[in-house]
Amino acid sequence: MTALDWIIVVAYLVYVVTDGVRRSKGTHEIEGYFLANRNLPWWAVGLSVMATQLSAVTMIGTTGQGASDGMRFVQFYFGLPVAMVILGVTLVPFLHRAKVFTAYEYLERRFDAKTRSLTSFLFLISRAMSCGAIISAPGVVFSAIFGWDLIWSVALMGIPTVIYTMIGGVQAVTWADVKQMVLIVGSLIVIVLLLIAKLPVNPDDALTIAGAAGRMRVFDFTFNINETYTFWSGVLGGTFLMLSYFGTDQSQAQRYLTARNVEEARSALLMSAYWKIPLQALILLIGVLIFVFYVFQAPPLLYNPAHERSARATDSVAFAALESRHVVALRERRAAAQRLTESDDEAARAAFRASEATLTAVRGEAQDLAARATGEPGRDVNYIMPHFVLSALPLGFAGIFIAAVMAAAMSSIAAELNSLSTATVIDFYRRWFRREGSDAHFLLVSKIATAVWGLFACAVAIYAATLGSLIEVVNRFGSFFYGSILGVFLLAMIPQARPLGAFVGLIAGMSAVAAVSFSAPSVSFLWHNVIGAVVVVVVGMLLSFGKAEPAAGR
Amino acid sequence: MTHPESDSGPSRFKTTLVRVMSMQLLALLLLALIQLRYNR
Repeated sequence: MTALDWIIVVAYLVYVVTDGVRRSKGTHEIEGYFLANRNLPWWAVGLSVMATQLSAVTMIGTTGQGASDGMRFVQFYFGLPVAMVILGVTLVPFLHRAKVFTAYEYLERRFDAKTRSLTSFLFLISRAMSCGAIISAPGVVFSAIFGWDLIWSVALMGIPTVIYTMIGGVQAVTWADVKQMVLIVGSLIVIVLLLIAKLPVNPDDALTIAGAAGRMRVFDFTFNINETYTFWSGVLGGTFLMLSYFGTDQSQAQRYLTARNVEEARSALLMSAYWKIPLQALILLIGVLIFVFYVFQAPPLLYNPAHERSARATDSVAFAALESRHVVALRERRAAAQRLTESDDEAARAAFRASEATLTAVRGEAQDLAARATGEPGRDVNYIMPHFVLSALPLGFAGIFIAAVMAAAMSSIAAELNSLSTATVIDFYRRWFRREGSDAHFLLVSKIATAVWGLFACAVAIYAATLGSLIEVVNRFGSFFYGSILGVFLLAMIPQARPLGAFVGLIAGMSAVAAVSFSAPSVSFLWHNVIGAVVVVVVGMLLSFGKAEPAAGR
Repeated sequence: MTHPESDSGPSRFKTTLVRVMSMQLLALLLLALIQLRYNR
């Protein structure tokens, strides 16, 4: 990173905070602070929805996944468009017309206070934990690259985000999301163009090389509930996950509750339905192209510089031997790739695959050595993209990318802190402790809640670093509750469903997911959502049919 | 606040579903062609 790169990063941080603080003007009541007086345009809400979902994990982890595993991760999002259309005609009109602040508030009107409180509590727990993971993802990478203590990386992103979210409320969050989304997509497009320009082969040959290494396999039609990234897991499990996330998670529900009307809220969600899969494919493609880039340019043995230092210090002889084998394997792979571009036949592809397997084995041994040296998982997928950016991009672009990673992290963190504060104040403080109070009082409590959740998330971030693959960490936190909470909202739309059925069904759904998770840990977390939702609806309806009258209050 | 004519209904749902799914099928078709061409 040069001085220019750092100037870009600092300029971005200063701009986001000052613009957020400026947005606080005119926000004197909680309707404005939490819902922008339900007056935001659909395109701003739509970009905010996308920015909230797209975190730094996507920028760092998904590109790394594209480089190491190829395009098949895109299947994870195959259920998203269907989920958005279903939500557009089910939950979105329900919640928008109910004029609620939180999705869980609606559950009290439909069922009872304990169902609302339990779902909101589960949201607070899971979202606060995942917010920590979202901060830690780039935090860990920045620390390893720049040699900082993790606490400084977490503070660099956490503190500015807490400041503008706390002061500016949802207005600041949404308008920052819009600008952050432009920065993120703009930087991704620039990186694709730079990658194509930097590759010594044309794009067709680059994709042929990637394909020979298995990186261009998009679809996997095997039906295996233990596999997360298959077509069926994406379409079925993914639909339930996306229904839960966009329909019942306050961090997303709050985005479209700020829209002017139901129609604009639907349009905001449909923006993701149209653009999420192409955007995700673009991000994975960047990873695939980086893989090809490092076929021709020598990559490090380990992409994580901190792990490399530790491994070298722990066993310098073994590490040096691995480095020598790595150099030879790289040379052989480059030669095999060159032959593949000259003649794309089965023999050339087999030779390239063999050289790739040798290289992967050497890297595997180095990762094992790093794992033994550090006591941490040796995988370095999340460091591939940062290494490429910092070592291969021209002056200034590294700064833009680091700012874009921060933007991706901050846009998600801000929306989540904003929603955590909303659920705390609306579902708990105003519901159970102080029903009456001035707007100034509730505004002050909301700001304090935002700050407290921000500090909590930062604390979690410092410990979440050791939990393994960052992508999976974020999704796993939610999957324990997501399906069951979706089940309660599905019950809410069935006229015969009753409060007792909803509450017991929710407990039964979570118990079922916990039982599956512990008794069959190999079942992919995507299926937890399906199991949770189905159990809640079945148990809820069985209990409801046993009662005489349907619930009132819809 | 809400436009009555733009409220949900079976026909509107069908239209949106068809439009979104057509776009997605197009995207999936493109991805399938890419896989067929390069994943060998």
